[in-house]
Amino acid sequence: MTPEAQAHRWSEQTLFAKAKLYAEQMQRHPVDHWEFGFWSTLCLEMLGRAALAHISPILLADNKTWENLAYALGTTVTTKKFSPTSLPTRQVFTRLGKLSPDFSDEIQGICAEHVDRRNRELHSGEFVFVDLGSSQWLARFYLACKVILGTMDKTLDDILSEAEDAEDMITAYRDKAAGRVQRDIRCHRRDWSNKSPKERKGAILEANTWATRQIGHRVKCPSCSSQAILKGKPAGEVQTTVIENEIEQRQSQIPSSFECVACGLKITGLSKLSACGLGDAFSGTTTYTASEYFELYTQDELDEAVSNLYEEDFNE
Amino acid sequence: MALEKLAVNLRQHGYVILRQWRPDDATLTVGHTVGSVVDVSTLALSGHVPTVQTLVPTSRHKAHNTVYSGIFGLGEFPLHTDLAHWMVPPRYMMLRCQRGSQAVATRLLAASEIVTRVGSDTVRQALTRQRRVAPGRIFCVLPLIFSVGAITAFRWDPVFLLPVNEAALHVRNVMGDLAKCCSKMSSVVLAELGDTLLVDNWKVLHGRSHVPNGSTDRHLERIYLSEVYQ
Repeated sequence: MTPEAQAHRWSEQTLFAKAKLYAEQMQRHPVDHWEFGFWSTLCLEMLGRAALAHISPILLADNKTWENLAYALGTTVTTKKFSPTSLPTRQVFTRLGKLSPDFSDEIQGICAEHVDRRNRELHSGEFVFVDLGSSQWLARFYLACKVILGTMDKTLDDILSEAEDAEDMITAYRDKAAGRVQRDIRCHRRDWSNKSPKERKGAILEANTWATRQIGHRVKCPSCSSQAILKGKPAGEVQTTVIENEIEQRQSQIPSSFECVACGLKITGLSKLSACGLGDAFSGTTTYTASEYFELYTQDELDEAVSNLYEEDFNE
Repeated sequence: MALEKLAVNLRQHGYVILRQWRPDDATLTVGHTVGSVVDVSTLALSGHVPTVQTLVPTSRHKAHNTVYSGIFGLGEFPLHTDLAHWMVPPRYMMLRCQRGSQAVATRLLAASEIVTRVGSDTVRQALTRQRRVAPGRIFCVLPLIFSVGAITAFRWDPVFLLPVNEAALHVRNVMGDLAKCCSKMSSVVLAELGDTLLVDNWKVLHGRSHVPNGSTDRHLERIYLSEVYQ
């Protein structure tokens, strides 16, 4: 390993060390103290940036100017008055969402929410954490940290002195979410059984028709057993195959939302979907014609061109 | 000693001593035989540090306070790892005796001893920062325990690193007492031309005993290696 004399402000090592420092500052205060919440937002931001840097520091560069990319690569930038600019925090989490399969929409949502609290704390007179009960955010914060740390092969132990307590909170949060989903399913099942056979038959037909027109994975509804749609977030590599005149692309999808139009059941978030057996990844397939895939002319454009060449018989 | 045996001993003990080894060969030549020599002259931020450094005892008033001699003079150098304030310090350090002294010892202590004394949790939590940075460079948080790939490494410098949190302060306090009373510390004397000490700078700390009158002409050469050939 070649030694490195100088620190890079976007290296995983420096960012993660800072996340540890902020986590330590956070834990100096009781959970219900506003500073606990405040430092938690800074810790989360550093963790997100470290996770992106773990893939590559270049992903942190604000690519509005090429100098930021050069800086991220470790090149000395000679442009006068250059000051390296990195991505806004929200975009850090958006990018993580696209690059890390474990960083689900749900986790992204938790991070976006916490970043919003940080922004309100720093950029306004609002005293965000002073009256915000920890039950509203703490377990979700720990869950987000755990997932982000996991992308760097680290654990909550690496930043928290009482990681076990945090794990307990995460488990309790997931159990609560699972409980809510099961209650939802039971409610919708009850409403479904209260419908007349004729109403049910009509709803099933409508659901089947609707499902065939939707993009997503067709599954059986856990409440009414009708055809329903499971939508997912792309994860992993795209596999491309050529089949006769078509190009087929397959990619794993991590479930993100469920909807059944027959009984009206809707479930959002991977943890809730997992709680009712709908959390397994599925394969999404898209088929293209050659012209669509390579963005050649469409059939309509070709037809129009042919018709423009055609000369009408005319008695001139 | 065959290179394979050297690498094995280094892995086992964290350092290897070779007596009067290739005394007629230049340090740089020997270094290139053993492993990949770090070209410090290009990596160091000031550009004044040569790849092969000359180490001679120097009084405090004759050296700058950016080097240990300028701070400790002919007194004892505390236990430390070299270039601990770098993002990634060099892996190995080689000391070659040009003119030795029986009265001056190089002290060695495995970092694992510190972890045992202080507690692994505390050491893992300990965070420091550079004492100073070159103009235009940035301060950053440097953990005492850091990873390079699958290797866990340790850094320590009581002067060039400043504690940033309680855990690092605690390590500093323990280190202050450790050097005086640790039975696990080794002492190596480089007395003859060619006496060579190769140290794993990520696993073993080193220091120097005080230099008595009559030993101020001691002359060592030092190079850094990023890897040792197997």
